[in-house]
Parts: sequence; C-alpha cells; structure tokens
Amino acid sequence: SRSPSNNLQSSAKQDATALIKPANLDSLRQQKAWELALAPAKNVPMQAFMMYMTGGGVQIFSVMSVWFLLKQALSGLVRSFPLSFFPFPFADPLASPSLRALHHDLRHPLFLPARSLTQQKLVFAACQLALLAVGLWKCNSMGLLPTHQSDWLAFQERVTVRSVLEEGIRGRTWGRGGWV
Amino acid sequence: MKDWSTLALGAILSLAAPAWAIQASEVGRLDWHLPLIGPPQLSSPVDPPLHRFHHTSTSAAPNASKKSLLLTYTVKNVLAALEPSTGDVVWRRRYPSNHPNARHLSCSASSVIVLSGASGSDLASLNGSTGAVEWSLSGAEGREGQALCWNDGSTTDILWLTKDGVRRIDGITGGVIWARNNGAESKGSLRLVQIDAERFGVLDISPQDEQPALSLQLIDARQGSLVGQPSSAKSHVQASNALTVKSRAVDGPTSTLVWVESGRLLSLKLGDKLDKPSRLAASTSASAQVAQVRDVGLSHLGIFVAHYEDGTAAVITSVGEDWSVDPRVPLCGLRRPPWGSSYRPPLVLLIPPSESLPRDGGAPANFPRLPQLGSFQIYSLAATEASPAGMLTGHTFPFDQDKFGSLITFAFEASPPNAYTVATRSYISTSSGVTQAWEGSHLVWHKEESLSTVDSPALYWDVAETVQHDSSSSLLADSSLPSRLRRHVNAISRIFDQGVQSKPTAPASNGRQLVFVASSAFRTIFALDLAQQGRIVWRACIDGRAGSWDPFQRLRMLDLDDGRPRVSITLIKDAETASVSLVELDALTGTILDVDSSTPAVSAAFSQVMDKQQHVSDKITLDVSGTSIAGVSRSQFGIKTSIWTAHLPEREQVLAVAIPRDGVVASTGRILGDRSTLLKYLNPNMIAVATFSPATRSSSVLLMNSESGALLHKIGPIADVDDESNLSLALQDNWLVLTYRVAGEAARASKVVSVELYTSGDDSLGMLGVNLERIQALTRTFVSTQALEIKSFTRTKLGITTYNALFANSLGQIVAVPRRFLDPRRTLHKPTKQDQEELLLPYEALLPADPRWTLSHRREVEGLNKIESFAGRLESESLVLASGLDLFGTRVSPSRSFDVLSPTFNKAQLVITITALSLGLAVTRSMVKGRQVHQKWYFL
Repeated sequence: SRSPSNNLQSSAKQDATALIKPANLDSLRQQKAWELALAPAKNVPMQAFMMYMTGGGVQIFSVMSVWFLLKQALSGLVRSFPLSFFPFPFADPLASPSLRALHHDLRHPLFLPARSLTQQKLVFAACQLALLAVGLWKCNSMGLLPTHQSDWLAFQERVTVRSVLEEGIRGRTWGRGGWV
Repeated sequence: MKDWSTLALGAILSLAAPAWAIQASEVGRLDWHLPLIGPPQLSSPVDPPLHRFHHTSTSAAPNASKKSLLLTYTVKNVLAALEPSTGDVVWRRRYPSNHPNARHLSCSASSVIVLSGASGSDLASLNGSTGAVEWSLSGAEGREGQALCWNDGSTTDILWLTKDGVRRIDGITGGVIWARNNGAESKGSLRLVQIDAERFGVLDISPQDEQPALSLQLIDARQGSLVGQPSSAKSHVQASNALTVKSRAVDGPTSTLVWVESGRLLSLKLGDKLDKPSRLAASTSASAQVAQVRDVGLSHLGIFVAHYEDGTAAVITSVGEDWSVDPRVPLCGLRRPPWGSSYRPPLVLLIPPSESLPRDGGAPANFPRLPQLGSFQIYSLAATEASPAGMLTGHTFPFDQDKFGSLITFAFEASPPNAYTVATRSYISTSSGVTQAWEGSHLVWHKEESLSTVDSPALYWDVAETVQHDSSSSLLADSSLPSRLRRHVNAISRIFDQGVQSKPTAPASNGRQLVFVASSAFRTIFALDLAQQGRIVWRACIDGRAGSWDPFQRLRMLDLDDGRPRVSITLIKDAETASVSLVELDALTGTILDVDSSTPAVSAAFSQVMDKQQHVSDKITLDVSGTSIAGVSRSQFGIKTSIWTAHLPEREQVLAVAIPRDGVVASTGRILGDRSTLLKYLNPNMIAVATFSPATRSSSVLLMNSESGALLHKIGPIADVDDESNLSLALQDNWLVLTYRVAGEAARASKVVSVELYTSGDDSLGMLGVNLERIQALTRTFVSTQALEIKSFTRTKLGITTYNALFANSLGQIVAVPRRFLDPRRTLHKPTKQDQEELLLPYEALLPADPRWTLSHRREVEGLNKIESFAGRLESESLVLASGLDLFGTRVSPSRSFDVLSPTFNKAQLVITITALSLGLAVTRSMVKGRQVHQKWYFL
C-alpha cells in the first residue's frame, strides 16, 4: 500500500545511475564523505564561542544549550557514525532488494570496489569528540562536573569519636554566675 | 509549552517568597512571653514583711481613692507590684544579684521607699503606681542599712542609717536635711526606733559576750543632735529574735523592745533610761515556751505575734502602758480597739503556722499530709458598728500540699464592706514556688513562679513524632552512610506522609511540642507546650523524700515498650551509700508513675536503661575553679573521681567555659568559592575555656579535650578584655562565638569574635590525609553597639539550615544574627567572583543592628540567662526557649521558610490550571491525530 510515487522515484534513479562513470563516482564519494566529515568541524569553534559567551553561571538557557551540545556530540559519535557514511560504502546488491531487482549485472559501475573512507570517519569522530570536549569544558566551568572533594563530601566516612561528657552539662556555659 | 513554563516559574517564585521576619500581625502567634517575678523571698520574722498590700494614690489629698497593689520581693531580687485582682505585673524592678536583700517600706501612699544595695547602702524612692525612680541616694557600704519613716505632722521624711551615720532625708525631694556621724564603731546590730514625737534612737544590740549588751543613742529628729545615751548591761538579747514595737502610752507613743530569752517573752521600754527588762505578764500563764516573735507589719500600731513552741500563736497588743496577750489560737477577746473607728489593717494568721517549716525553701520532710485544706483566721481590727472591737473571721480553701508544697509566705488585706463581714484578699506562696491570691475562699489567680528558676537543660519532645529529637541525639553515633541514607529516606517518606504544609500546624491533641523544664531549687518539673504559646500542660512537684536534687541531673525521656513515654530524673538519695532514686512521670500528664529507690548496683542498671549507651561508668563532668579546670567522673552518683586537672599559668583565671551540645551535622566540610573544601573540626569532647591574665590584661580561648584535658588549640591573646568585661562564650559544632565588653571606661561597645575551626589537612589527599590534631582557626572580630552577649545557636532537625547565633542584649531582647554576618571568611577586599559564589559579604567591623534580627520584638525579656534551641517539625524551623526570669518562646526560620509554601500560594489555581491543561491535552491529542492521518491521505 505504498504511494504510487515510489515507482516514479526508482525509474528516475535508474536513469541517473546510468550516467555515472565509475571513476567519477569514486572521487565524488570521497569528496562527499570529506564534506560530511568536516561539517561538524566548523561547528566546534562556533559552539566554543557560544559556550564562552554564555558565562559560567548555572542558568536555564546555558544549561539547555550545554545539554543540546552534549546530546549532539554523543549522538554524532554513537548513532550518526555508521549512518553518516551510509550512502557511500560499497553497495551490496544482495542487501538491497530494490537494487537487485533493477540490476542483474554485478559488473555495473555501482558495484565496483571503491577506496576506503576510514580517514573521513576518523576526522568525523575527532570533530564530535572536540564538540564533546567543548561541552565538558563548559560543564566544568559551570561546576557541574563532580571533580572536587566537595562533590563527594556527603559520602565521606567521618572519624567517630565517643562522647564522654555527661549529658547534664552539655550545652551549658560557666561564667561569672556559675553554670548556666 | 509556554503555559507550562510560566506555571513552573510561578511555582518557583512562590516557593522563594521571603518569610524573613515576623510581621507585626504575627506577633503573639508564633512567639509568647511569660513575665515572671520569681518566688517570694522569705524574710526574717523580726523585719517588716517583704510581701504586703500597698494602697497607692496619685494625689496627696486625704480622701483620694487608693488603689491596692501587692508589693512583693522575690528570690530573683525583683521588687514587683502586682495587680491583686488579676496577678498582672504592674511594675517590677530587678536588683543586681549581689544585692540580695532589698527592703521596702511605705512612708506615704504615693511612693515606696526601697533600701537596696549590698548592705542597705542605697536608698531610693519609687513611684507607687509606676515604679519609676523619684530619687535615689548612695551611702557607705559595710553595715546593714536601716530606714525609718518619720512623720513630722506635715511632712514625711526618712531617717536613714548606714555605716557612716544617720541622715534625715526629705521624702519628696530626696535632699539630705541633716547628717550625723555614728561615732564609735559598733560590732552589734543597729536599729532605728522612734522614741517619741521628737526623738528617735539608734539601738545597738551587741553580741552576747559584749558589755554593755544594749545601748541607745537618743537623737533629736529636727537637728540630728545627740540628746542622751543610756545603756543597759544585763541582758541576753539576740538581734534575730528581738522586735521593736511602738506602744501607746498615755503621754504619746513610745517604743518597746520585745525579745525572747529562754522561752520567755521580755520587754524593755526604750527612753531616757533603760530599765530592767520586764517579763510580759501574759506569757507566764501559757505553759508553752515562746519560740519566736514576729512582725506582721503592725508593729507601729503596737501589735505583734508570738509563736509558741507547740505551734500555736498569740496576738499581743499594747493597751495603754500594759500589754494584752490575747489567748492563743483561736483568737478572741480583744477588749477594745486602742484607736478610733477609721480603717485599720487587719491581721491574718495562717494555720498551720509556717514557722514549723524549713526556711531554706526545701520541701518539708515530716509535714503531716492530712486534709488538703488550708485556712486563714482573720483577726480584723477594723471597728464597725456591729463589732467595735473588731472581729474574728476566717476562710478555708482547698490546698493540696502534695502538689504545691507547704505555705511559706503570705500577705493580706481586708476591709469591712458592711457591719457584719470582712472582705479579705490574701496572697500566699508555697515551697514549690506557687503563688496564689484568694478573695475570701475564692481563688483569684494562680501563678507558677518557679518557672523563673529553671536550671536543668530543657528536654524537648514532639508528641507527633515517634522519634524524639532532643539534645541527646548523638552527633557522631549515626553518621555512617547506611544510617544517613535511612534517615534521608525516612525524611522523604515523611514528606509524602504529611504533604507540604502551607500553614503552621494547628495545635491538635497530638500536635503538642512539649518542652520539659525543671527547677531544682523548687523541685518542680513543668511541661510547656511550645505549639500553644508555652501553655503549662502539667507541673509536678517532686517530694523531698525522694532524694536531693542535683542541678546537673538532667531530665530524660524513657521510651518504654508500653507506648507511654516517660520523663525521668535521678535524685541522689544518699551520697554516702551511693543510693539513688529514679522518679518517673508520664510525659503527657505528669502523674508520678514510679519512684524507685535503689542500691548502687541497681542504679547502674537503671542508668544503662536510661542512657541507651554503653558508656555509663565514665561520663565526665567539669569542676571549674578560678584558676583550674578538672575533669571529674561521677560514676557512682555523687562520688567524684578526678580524671584530669588543668592548671592555668600563674595568675591566670578562668572567665568562662562553654560546652557544646550534641546535634546533627549535615555536612562535614565547608565548600569554598573555588570548589575546594575546608573540613570542619568536629570533636564532641571539645570544650572552650576563656582565660584572663591580669598581668598582660588580655584574654585567650583554650580549646581543650574534655576526655584528657589536653590543649587542642589556643586562640588569642585578645588585648582589650578585662575581668569585668562580661565575657561569654558559646560553641556549637565547629563554630565558636565569644562576646565581651571592651575594656576602658569610655568604651561602650562590645565585641563579637567569631571563630570557625577546621582541620588543616591537605585537601587533595581527602580524609586519609587529614591530621585531626591540627586545627586551623578562622577568626573575625566585630564591634557591636548593642552590648550583645552570646547565649547559643539555633538547631534544626537535619542540620542543613544555616545557624543563627542567639544573643541577649542590654535591652532585654533576644537577637538572632545570621551566620552570614558573623562569617569569619567575610572578605577584606572587594568580593571576587568566587567570593560572590560563596555568598560572602565584605567585612565591616561594625555589626549592624538590624531590627529584623530581634526575635523578642518590643517585648522586654527580663533577666535573660539561658537561651535554648530545639529542632522544629520542619527542617527550616528552629524553636527557641529563653529563660532566666521571664520565659520567652518563639519559632525562627534561620534560612527563611524554604520548605513551606507561602501563605499566599494559591493551591486552587494550581489544581485548576493543571486540570484544564490535562483536559486540553486529551482533547487536542485526538484532534491532531485525525488531522495527521488526513494529511497523509490527501497531501502526500
């Protein structure tokens, strides 16, 4: 029960792939992957500047922006890492029923082996880590990281000293008029 | 979304609404004040009565209406005038405690003459209706001063005898009319007596082995010149049992000395010649021996009372030259009144006579417990048409001796409203500090004056809580992580149980917040309800047979299995055999449940139960003398064993010692602006001792370990202290506050020294690197113009709320200064960002006098001695109880009411908004869902 537009799309794709040369395709893939990998790198100085400008106070807006920054960096690392480069790997004709249906010839340029994207992936990961570092630096400057002894004070065991004073004189003072 | 954020913001703002000071409309709802004067003081029987009704008038006209006031002098050195019909204090004046005996007499209706000072060396005239000082004079100290009213027809003056001589003082202006030196120094007791209309005498009653025993200086009252000096050799007069009575001879009034000598009543007429003493004729007819003569305030009318050894009494009146001894109780047979038919004060005898009771205020050990009734016999000398000779009447009133102790003092007044009756008003006080006023046999008011002498540390019990929160909850016993977690979980579950309270808890049957206080001098225990304006819930009087009361014995709570909590106190039955008795009272009703007398072995078992701690045998108390402090163990209930003694350097003396109270500490450290930590120095055995060195005229504070007497740290020397500087100290957790009056005559300021103690370990190493022995003391000194005197600190349930320091000032007010203002880390420079983060204020030497800090508002809490604080029901609340002379209680929120919704918070609005939003969400959700499906079908 898919909408009829699917058929139109696949026929358009067929025409487009027919025009692509294998060599061009590989360099294009590399180029696009670099673009995607370096996209967060532009974000790092901008975020750093924004975080610096919002100050060290714990306010609702600075907390929210730090939260989104951290969320973005973490999701970039964890979730977006495989997804970001999904359009670029060797296409596995067996993995995709639509490709299999369309192209029975495995020598089609689309299925030729291409250069690895490891460098781009590493750069992408580094950019996400840089963003995460900006976020953590901000958290630290806001005092939200439990990095001090004071943050763990409640869990410190105290040295127990037995009280020896008689209760009757507890809280009393001795002065000019005797015990009060 | 916008609505939600607005709502959340509104809720946060309403939570943070300040509840800083009590508004004027709240005064009297949160706080209460019980003005007291103290239990009446016992006076010598031969002195004029200390408790009497005085008829004061503002005008000098003879027919002016006279208002009756009850004048009384108490053990707290307070001279007070009470309204007889209500018991309200009309005025009161407190005399210093080193001036123990103030005497008062009335020479005219408008004023009261007070003889005070260490030995009657100060004379003052007070306005009878307001208590304001009209004039006052100071004389030389060293001899018991005497005063005598001298009525010279038109004027009323005062003759005043001090060590350096006799003076005649103008009664209205206080000017000295003449002064005369005493001449030779006398070892005996001097009395001023009126001889006749123009002369008075200074009677010298020498000790028994002296010769002559009696000598009299006759002095002309107009010029003050000596006109005669007769003496008598043969007598054994004791000043403590001799009375001067004005007798009415044919040729005008004369004075007679009456005394008791080996059971006989002797009299000697004082005049130009001192004759041989004559025996009062009537006393021969009585078989019993005379024990005591008593001045009942009518000696100027020639009337006194003789008490006999068998407990009966007789009224003796002067009839012409002779003495009439009315038959002993019951009184009757007054032959004729020796004066006209104008108003005369009546005379009351109390039965049983108070003289058979011990005079030191202790409970009577052998007093018969027969019917619970008291009675007055009133011997009215007021002549009426029906009874020109006066009349004898009386009243019986219910009086429970077990409950109130025995009668010890009384005062009375009466007047005949018609020919056949006498209206009387009597004022009595008992050995347990109760004062009562009776009109006839009807009780008019009842007061518990022993509340002004409470000395044991107060015990607090919140009836609504199953767990008691008193000072015995240990500082360090439950500081382990599991118990802390349990406590926090309990606290959270309690929040769900109780909900958030928007109003102070209404007093319900289980909403009581009882505080138990005890007066060891009057052997009474009280339960006051702090939730109900300090109402007395019950009082209990502990019988003297139970044992002697040591002021260091504190009240304890016994939480027995039967669900009825008990208050108990240990009394020392016999110090030599080390036997004690344990008195247990029901905590809710005050009925004495049990008095257990026991041997040492049993008593040790008892104390194990009482303490619920293992260390009963080696609890330490302190003995402080002028130059040394000793740690003393009193393991065997009264038998002391010295454990350590710390001697101060030569000529140094102890000025004050502070012992902290146990309590819960929420945080073991203080977090600074740069997120580093200062670890608090918390030692439950630490005591603070302020010493003074006369050589260097400086003071220092020694922090000592009470277990070993070891010196932990020394703060000082502080230069501008002297031994008269009213130095006081208080210590709680790691915060020490010291106040003193700055030395020097010109200085009127007092200084407040705030010290916080921290361990000086290396922060980065954590707890393991901390050396507990090294104390780092942070100190700031502030100047106050209010003469602040530190008393204690506020306490809260979990110790999270910051403390306020509680001070008394010279105006009788209680001042709670926030810790922020006394912070030793207040910055000396412009606060940096980190300082601001730490909420530090810039240091200012002068401590401001913020009126919002005054807890007692306009009330004057007289004689403030002790301020105690207890954890309230909420963490933000702290209950304060001040005692001394008056009682004052209030509830404070040192960090504002952060866990209470403000009274203006609109709960209905909150509920309505949430309901409306939920409904809106439910309705719009289905609408949006339908629209989305519609979009997918028709718009790609």
